Amino acid sequence: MEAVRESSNHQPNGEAAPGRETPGEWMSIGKATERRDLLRRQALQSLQVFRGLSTRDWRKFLELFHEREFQDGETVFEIGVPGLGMYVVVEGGVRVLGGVGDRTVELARLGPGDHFGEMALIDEVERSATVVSVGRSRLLGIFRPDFWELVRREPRLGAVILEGIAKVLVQRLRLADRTIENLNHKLETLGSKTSAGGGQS
Amino acid sequence: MTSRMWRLFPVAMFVAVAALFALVYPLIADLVTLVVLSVVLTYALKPAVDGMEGLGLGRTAAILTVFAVLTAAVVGMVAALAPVAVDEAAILSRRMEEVNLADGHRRAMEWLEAKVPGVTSALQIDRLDAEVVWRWFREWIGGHWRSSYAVIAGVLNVVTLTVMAPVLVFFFLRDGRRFSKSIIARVPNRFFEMTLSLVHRIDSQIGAYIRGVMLEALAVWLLSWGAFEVMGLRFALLVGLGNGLLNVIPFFGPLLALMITGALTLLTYQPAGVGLIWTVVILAGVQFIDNWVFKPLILSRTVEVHPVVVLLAILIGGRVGGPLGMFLAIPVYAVMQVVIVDFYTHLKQYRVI
Repeated sequence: MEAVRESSNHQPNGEAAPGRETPGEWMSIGKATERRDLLRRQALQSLQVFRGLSTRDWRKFLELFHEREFQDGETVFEIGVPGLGMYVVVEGGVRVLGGVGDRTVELARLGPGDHFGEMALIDEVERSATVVSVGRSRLLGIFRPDFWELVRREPRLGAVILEGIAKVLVQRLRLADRTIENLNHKLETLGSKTSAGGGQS
Repeated sequence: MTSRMWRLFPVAMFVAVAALFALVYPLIADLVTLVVLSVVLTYALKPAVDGMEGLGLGRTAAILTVFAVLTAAVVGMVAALAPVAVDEAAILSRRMEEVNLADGHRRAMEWLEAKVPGVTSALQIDRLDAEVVWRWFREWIGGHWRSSYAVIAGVLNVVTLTVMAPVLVFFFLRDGRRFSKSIIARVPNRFFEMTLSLVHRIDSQIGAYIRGVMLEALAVWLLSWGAFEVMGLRFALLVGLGNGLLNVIPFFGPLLALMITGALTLLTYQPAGVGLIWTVVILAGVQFIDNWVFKPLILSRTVEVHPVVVLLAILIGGRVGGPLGMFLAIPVYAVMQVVIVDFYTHLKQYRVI
């Protein structure tokens, strides 16, 4: 973007002439697009869910992403609405909010490099939480219709991405299992203490 | 507005849009024909191009490969079939000039009376003035052909169509995704996922319908052609092709095909009565197979539209745009149904209303 702004300042009379880009300026626009794609790719490549893709794969895969900008406090999606796809945080951050009884609690804060909503890529499940932008944020979204069209068109590439998503979901499932196990153990311990204390009285 | 009113809304909207379209259509008929043809070809070729891309070709190379294969196939078919079709059309044209319908009618009545005594007087077809009917039929066929042909070829240069359509198709196939994405990028965040979902649904419906209809038309053509060849009908190729194309129009298409094929049979097949019966049996058989085998297999994913609505849509489409309007009536209505009914559902699901 900086390259485009600098080029438009170079006018013979010092004034901007809108819509009259020189070849150099068009090259700058092309380079700006390339740089934007490179930044996107760098943001996405570090994610485990998208590991194992070749350069050619990335060129095709990047076409699927939609870039969205959100203002401070703007809702990305609400709990209970049909999920359409996943988002990756490129700039800024988001808060993940859930309901506990009548209260809304913050479940997590996500920043650049974090992603959320992977399950909606696989299945039309309702969103399990509300996500709200913190400050001005830029997200990259990939959505189920585009994703499955890619899988049909390029089965090998689709298989690599599905493998990455499956690994992430399996990790979360294991973490959830461990958490449940810990909670059960704590409940049992609490139960035993309560029974022992009740017996003594 | 209640849910039931939303479901009736597409019918009202279709009528309103058709009325508006009827006003502007004469001014933009050539452009509409070009765009419609290009869109239909785009949807038809997209799976092949996607398949080529999946084999490792770039998008442009995939499109050019499919174009090359299609051009070779069309040139080959035309080279092989054109002489036969031209011969058959020339013979048919001469035959139509020579026909003595009164004599043919008399012979057909004599044959029927021999088979089922008293049937012609019972049905009162022995007094039918065949010349009047024949003259009406020729004028009707000629009038419709001239009016529809005038729209396509008189308003739009055929050479322009054959050059511009492939160019448009090339760019639709290559840049369609990018164009769609750039449009959706302008939708506010509040409606973004809902719009994306709707656009994909519409695209999927239209694509499935167009490809399904083309495949069905091809199947009906091949089946009719084979059956009429076995029967020994002189113009089996043309008749089969006409049957396949007319089958695209629900209700009226097969009826029109029966009338045209029946007339051709009376003109060219001996004995005419036997030929007419075989024609009815073959066309009924083709329709049976089409409705019970082809349609469920090929069109199972298309939009469900009530038969009464189908009839209304075709009548209105025919009134507005002739044969092109009749062909477009169902997909246009189907898109409007998806947009309006699904739009309401999406607005509720995404809590916009």
